Amino acid sequence: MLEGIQHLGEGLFALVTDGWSLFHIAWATLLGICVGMLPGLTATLGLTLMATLTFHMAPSQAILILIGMYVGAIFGGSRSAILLNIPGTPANAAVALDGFPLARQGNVGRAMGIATVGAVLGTLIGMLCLAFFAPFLADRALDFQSFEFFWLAVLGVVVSGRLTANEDPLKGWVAGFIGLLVAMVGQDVLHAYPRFAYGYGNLRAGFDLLPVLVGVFGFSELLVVMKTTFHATVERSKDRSIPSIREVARYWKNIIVSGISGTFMGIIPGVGEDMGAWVSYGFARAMSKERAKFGQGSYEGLISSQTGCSAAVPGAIIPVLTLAIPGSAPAAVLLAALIVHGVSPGPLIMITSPGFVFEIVAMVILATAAILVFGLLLTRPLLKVLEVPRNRLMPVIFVLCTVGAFAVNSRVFDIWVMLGFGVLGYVLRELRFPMAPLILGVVLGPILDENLRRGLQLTDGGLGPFFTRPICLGLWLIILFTFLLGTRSFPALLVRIRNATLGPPNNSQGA
Amino acid sequence: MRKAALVFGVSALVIALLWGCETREPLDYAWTPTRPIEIIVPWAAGGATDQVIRLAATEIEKALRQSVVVVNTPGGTGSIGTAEALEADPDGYTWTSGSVAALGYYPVLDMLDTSLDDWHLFLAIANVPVISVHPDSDYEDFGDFLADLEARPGQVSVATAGTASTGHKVIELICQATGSDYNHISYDGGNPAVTSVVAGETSVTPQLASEQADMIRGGRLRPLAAFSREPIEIEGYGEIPPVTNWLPDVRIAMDYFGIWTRREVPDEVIETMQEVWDEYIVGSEILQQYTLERGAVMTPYYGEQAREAAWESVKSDAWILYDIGYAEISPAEFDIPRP
Amino acid sequence: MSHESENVESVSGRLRPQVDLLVGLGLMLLGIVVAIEAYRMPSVEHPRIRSVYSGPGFVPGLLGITLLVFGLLMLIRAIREGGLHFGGMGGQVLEGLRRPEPRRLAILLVLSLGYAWGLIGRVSFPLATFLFMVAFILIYDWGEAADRAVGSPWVVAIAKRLAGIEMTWSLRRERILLVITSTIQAALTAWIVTYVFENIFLRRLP
Repeated sequence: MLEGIQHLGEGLFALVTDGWSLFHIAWATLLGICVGMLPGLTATLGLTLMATLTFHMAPSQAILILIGMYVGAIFGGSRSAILLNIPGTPANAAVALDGFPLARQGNVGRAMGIATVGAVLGTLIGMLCLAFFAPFLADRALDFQSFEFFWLAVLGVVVSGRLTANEDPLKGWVAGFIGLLVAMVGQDVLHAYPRFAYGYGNLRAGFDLLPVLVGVFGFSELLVVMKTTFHATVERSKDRSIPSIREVARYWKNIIVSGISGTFMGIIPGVGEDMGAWVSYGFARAMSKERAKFGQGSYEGLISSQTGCSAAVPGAIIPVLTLAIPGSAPAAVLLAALIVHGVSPGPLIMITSPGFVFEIVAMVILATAAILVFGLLLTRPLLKVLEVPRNRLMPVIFVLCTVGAFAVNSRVFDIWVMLGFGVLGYVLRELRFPMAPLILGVVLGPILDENLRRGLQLTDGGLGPFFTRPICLGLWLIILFTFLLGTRSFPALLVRIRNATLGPPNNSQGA
Repeated sequence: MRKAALVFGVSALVIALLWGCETREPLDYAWTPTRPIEIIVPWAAGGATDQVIRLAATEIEKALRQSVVVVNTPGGTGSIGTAEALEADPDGYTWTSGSVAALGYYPVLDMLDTSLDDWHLFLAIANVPVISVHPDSDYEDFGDFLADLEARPGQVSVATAGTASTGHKVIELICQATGSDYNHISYDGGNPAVTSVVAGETSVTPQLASEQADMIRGGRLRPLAAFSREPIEIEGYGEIPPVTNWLPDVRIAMDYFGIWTRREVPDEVIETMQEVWDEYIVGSEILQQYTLERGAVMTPYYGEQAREAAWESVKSDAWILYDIGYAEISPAEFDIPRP
Repeated sequence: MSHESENVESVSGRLRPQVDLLVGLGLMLLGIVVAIEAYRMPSVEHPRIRSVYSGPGFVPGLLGITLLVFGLLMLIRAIREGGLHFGGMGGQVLEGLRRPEPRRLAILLVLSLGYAWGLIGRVSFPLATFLFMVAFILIYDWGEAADRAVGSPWVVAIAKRLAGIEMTWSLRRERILLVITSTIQAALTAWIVTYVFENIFLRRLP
């Protein structure tokens, strides 16, 4: 451990005293924030581009740039989520849930400041886990097998459906299951059968997540905004964008819980930043005394979701380094870049090059410092976005949605997907269906499908392991409980049981 | 605002500089590309194809002094990206990539109407599949695995990267040679399949050595046999015996990875790329390093040599997929003879 | 902020049980169609599919059934809340249609479809973007420019224009300014987006 701290110190010192390193991390993080902010450009895409561009650079510089890009992009998505209700990357859908209402209430500056601090602290917590528990945590990742993944996917849809549609969980779940259904279109992983494709090559490839995301959040938001004749004017934000220490300290419990759960979600292979945000949001809501505020503009909700998704970044790097298994899609690109640059991550890394893990930690610290600086400095300039007249801003956003949808795969078909899902999203929003579970459903659909069938194939149709394995047991109990709490009779029953055993409560705290 | 604009400007400048270094003295190739060349990788970033092609791309970049952009277009078992290259203008600026055998099974699986004749092939390396188990497995050697396959038909779980993946074809060829059966567990890519054996979810994986190398070196996987005629060497582990020690008659076709472009591209593009292959790929240090670490073989072929090599893989793959019932159209209908 | 929620209230709020009833029916229909389609996918009769649960239709089938159940739950709930009373619904729908929102939506859809289908791929991307931007800003801001100039709601402004009332000087100035600024903005957007995507992100554009 002492050796580790020494390595870390050396790594940090080397980076901070090298002008080029500081310069690279600065522009890479800034570019990451921009990539994250633009709908349709995600952390994965940004990392892929940077991996190509940094090919000729020295490995340590190239990896530094990639880390800056990764941390920056996951953070950057929160800016557009708060300002425009358009999450820049799928990971930030939960941030929009409370961030945008806060912005509408005239607290843009404060919301962005709080989210920035959340992102910074989340990354730091994840980084601490990376530094000290990497070898141990990485082994836990292997406990997640097909059975666990199936329940995890169900949990994601059920929990986000419940959280986003507070007054009507049924609609949240319907949205989530529609998302799962959308994910079914295209060739199935197990037998390569083109489902719901009807002979169209583009449908055989399935709907790409990004055009769906851009449509459901971007284009449908555009329809909502442009529909009304009156311009919903945002009060000019006079609030401070740099939160005081006391303001942040109030949320210390949320920050720690979100940081740890986000890191853990990051570690689990294939489950990325988005689940980190959702699980943290769920915990925060369960712990909160002001549950009703969630979704209406709750700082607790905002800081938890941002802390959670940022903590997942170092979390996802842990298995990349120690097992050569990526924890998320952007982490997969990072892994490829590491291999290309001659670093072989894997079980041996703690033995062959123990210093490298700490070099990465030092890079994450630097990238975190960069988002803190940029996050707080850029808040004011970004607020100007809200002052641009709607008729001028919206066509630009539509052009970006179109280009963003196209840029992912260079398919014109994706522009149609964006438009189609935009209209569908608009209709569903008018009918009071939340959109975030739909997106999470599209993300988790393949995971659910593959792992359920794979698990059944492994057990020859037996359901036993799905219910008896320890992690599975915990997961399905949570799911069952979430479902029951969403019905009307079950909470009432709980109250009755409590009253029967403890006697009626003195002051009604609300069940 | 001004500060932001400044930082923005500076980062734009850096990017411009990164580009700028490319222009040096003129080259004496027949073809001088004037804009970036695009190589489509029809698989996800970070996968086996992606890794090899990105390395090859750096060499081509060095040779032509023009940036080479690798674009990942996954989906449809690689057919979506390949179809895109088939429809692109034949000007030498759009290439696609992958495992060459795929060009044979796309028509047979009714995914894409193409054949080797549509393309100019430039192959870089051949990846060797390795049959591996968890270190605690009861199998002492490959013979034990074969015995278990026969003793418990359809029960031994084998993890592959999915239908028509290399691992899938390898295990089918083994079963065809021995007349046994297995429980096929497919994953979304080679790395998750390998991980499942490390985690103990499945018993055996026949995926590419390149996907297993780190785990083998780290003692998380134990290789039983390489699916080749010669033993293969993985740096930091040692030698893996060939499968022919146990199954001398099993049909083995190499899995060649490379890039290809449409047959109709101008001759000077092909001539130039052939020179690039001779001067940069054959002696490429980064590719050699890659093959050493990942148990792969350098196969820098083009022209007739590439076609002959590829034809063997195409025949083998198309027929095994037909024999096991995945392909409904007989390869004979596409003039692919049985190997 | 308040305006938007009022609108949502007027469309689906007052008619919530009735709308939910129709949505429930729609979901049930979707669930049935999905389940049937899933059933038609290859299963054990295919040589390599050994069991029902590993076939491609297994999970879509489960999802179809779940949606059917969800639809049924919504239907039952809507009926309990009085969703079967359709009286007066026609009038409310008509009232909703008479509001400006449907027309504004239609305009936006025509504009975006025109851009994505009519322009992209036919003319170069920067030109397509330029034309779309100019059209968008002019169509939506034309009326609001009048609004800014005269200070009356734009519906009234348009009515005045239709009735042939002369434009005031300030209105004309406002509109000339609008044309100039929208052209500049459109050109800048088209150029910047094209440059950034093609040269910095190295992406192809349609």
